[in-house]
Amino acid sequence: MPIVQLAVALRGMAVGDEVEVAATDAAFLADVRAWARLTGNALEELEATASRSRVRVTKVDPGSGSGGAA
Amino acid sequence: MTGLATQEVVDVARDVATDVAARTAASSDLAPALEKNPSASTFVVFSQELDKQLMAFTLANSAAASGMRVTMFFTFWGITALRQRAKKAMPETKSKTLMDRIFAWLLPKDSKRLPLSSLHFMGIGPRLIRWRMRRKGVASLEEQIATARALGVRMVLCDTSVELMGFGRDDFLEGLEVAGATACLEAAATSKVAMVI
Repeated sequence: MPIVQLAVALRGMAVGDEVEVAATDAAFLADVRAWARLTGNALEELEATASRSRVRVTKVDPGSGSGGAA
Repeated sequence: MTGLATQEVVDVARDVATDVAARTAASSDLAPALEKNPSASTFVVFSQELDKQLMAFTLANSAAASGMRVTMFFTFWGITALRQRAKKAMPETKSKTLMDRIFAWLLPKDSKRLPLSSLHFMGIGPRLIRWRMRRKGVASLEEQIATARALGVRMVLCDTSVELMGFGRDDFLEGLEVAGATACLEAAATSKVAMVI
């Protein structure tokens, strides 16, 4: 569940912090784009091949992560 | 995602979910909290099959990871996924009738014994799919349930279903809510996403 792992990682980060995520999930790119739109965090796509994708996420929304924005 | 094993995620998520739990506790009744949150989602879980439960938990966990407040309402056969064997040491809260015991015996004893909706093959199907999930690194239903709990997903058992099948509270995992149809509707009415699975 890379999206869940990403959300959990973001909870421990401050606004402006970046995290790089690499996943072998074919659906990851589509999912992380949707996740970024839903949560309002910034997304930069670094690599997108059939077998691997890599993105950099910058935390924008202080409330994003598990359990719901307050 | 590099370097985070599922157990680690569950542990970290449990820690960070404490403030969510605090928020939830602060609004003793969940209604005001739900109204305030514009992006809530509700999943009504009716089916007991492993595949449908996996889908329900995957969606619920993704919703929680996307910042939504999530309610899962388990009704009818769906409640069996949250069963656990009552601890022998614990005295049962109510005495069970013969029919209660028959229901308990006929229904899946816990999440590990759920059937598949297709290709069940008298129990070979679920084993096969679980083996394939392990090989492909897909989180198991049990891991997904743990993750949902750690992420602060609100899990509610349908009171009528529990009663109808002759179960008591100690037949289920700890920390679940018990509520009825109106509570379920309220959660759905204040959600942007509501699904029946």
